[in-house]
Amino acid sequence: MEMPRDTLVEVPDEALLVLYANGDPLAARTLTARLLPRVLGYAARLLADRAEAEDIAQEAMLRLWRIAPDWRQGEAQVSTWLYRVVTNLCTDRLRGRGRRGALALDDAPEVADDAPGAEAAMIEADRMAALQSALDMLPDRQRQAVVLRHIEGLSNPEIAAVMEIGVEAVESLTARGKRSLAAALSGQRVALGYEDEV
Amino acid sequence: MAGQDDLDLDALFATARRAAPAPSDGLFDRVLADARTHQPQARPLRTAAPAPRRGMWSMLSALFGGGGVLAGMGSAMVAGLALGLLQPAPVSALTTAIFDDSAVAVDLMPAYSTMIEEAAADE
Repeated sequence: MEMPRDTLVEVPDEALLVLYANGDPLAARTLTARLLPRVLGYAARLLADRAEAEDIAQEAMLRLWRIAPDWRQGEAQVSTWLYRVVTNLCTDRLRGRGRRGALALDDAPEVADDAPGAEAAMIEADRMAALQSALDMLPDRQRQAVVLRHIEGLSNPEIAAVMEIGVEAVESLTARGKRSLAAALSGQRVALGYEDEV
Repeated sequence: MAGQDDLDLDALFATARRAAPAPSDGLFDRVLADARTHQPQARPLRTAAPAPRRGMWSMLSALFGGGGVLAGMGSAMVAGLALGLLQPAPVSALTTAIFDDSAVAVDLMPAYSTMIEEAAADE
C-alpha cells in the first residue's frame, strides 16, 4: 500500500519556515495546520471576539510569511515569535476599542435540546462563557499571562520571551490573574453546576 | 474554599485547552493564499560555482602536485609531460596508429612537413 507523503510531520517549525522561504510547496500548509489553531485560540481568548480573532490570526501569519526569507535560525522559536505578534496586535486592537468588555464569544456550539449529552454540552458551554467573562475583566497583561500559561501551556520563560518581560514579572502576573479569576468565579459555583459534583 | 476555587479554575482551564476553536476552512484558505503570494520563487538547485579559470601553467603544475615542482623544467619538457598525461586527440590518434595494424598516417604538423619538403627541395 502506498503511504501518503507525510514527510514534513516531524520537521520542526523553524526548518519548515526555511523550506517555505526556499520555495517548498508543502511547507506553508504544514506550518499553517500546526500554528494557526494556536494563534487563533490565543487571539480569541484575548479579544473575546471570533471575527476579530480571525483577522488578527491572519495578520500574524502574514507577517510570518513576510519575514520568512530573513528569519535568523536559532534565535527564537517560531511559536514564541507568533505569540508575541498576536499579543501586540491584540493590545493595539483593544486600545482601539476603547472599552473593556464581555463581547459574546459567539462560537458556542449549537446543541439540540434532546440530543444525547445536550445537558453536559450546555453546562460546558456555560462554564466556558463564565471563564471568558472572568478573563475579560482582567487587566490586559494579566489576561495574556494567564492565557499563555494555563490555556496555551507555555512555560514561564517562554511567556517572558513573548511578553518581553522578566520571568518574575510573569509569575506575578499569573498569580494575580489566577486569584482574580478564582474570586470572580467563586460566586458562580452553583450556577455553573459545580455543587452537584463531588 | 480557596482550594476548591483553584480546583474549579484548573478544571475550567483544562476544558478550555480541549475546546480550542478550530480555524474555519475560509480562514485556513486565506492564510495559505497569503503564503503563496509572499513565497519567494523556488531557486533552482545550484551546482558548485565553476572553478576559477587559471592559466595553463598553474593547471599543469597542479597536475604534477603544484608547489613549484615544475620550476626546474623547460617548457618543452613540461609540454611533453603534459601531452603524455593529458592525451590530446592528435597524440592518442598517433598511439593508435603506431600500435594498431590499421595504421593511419596522421599529419601532426602539416607546416613542418612542408618545411622539410622545402628544405629537401633546396638541396
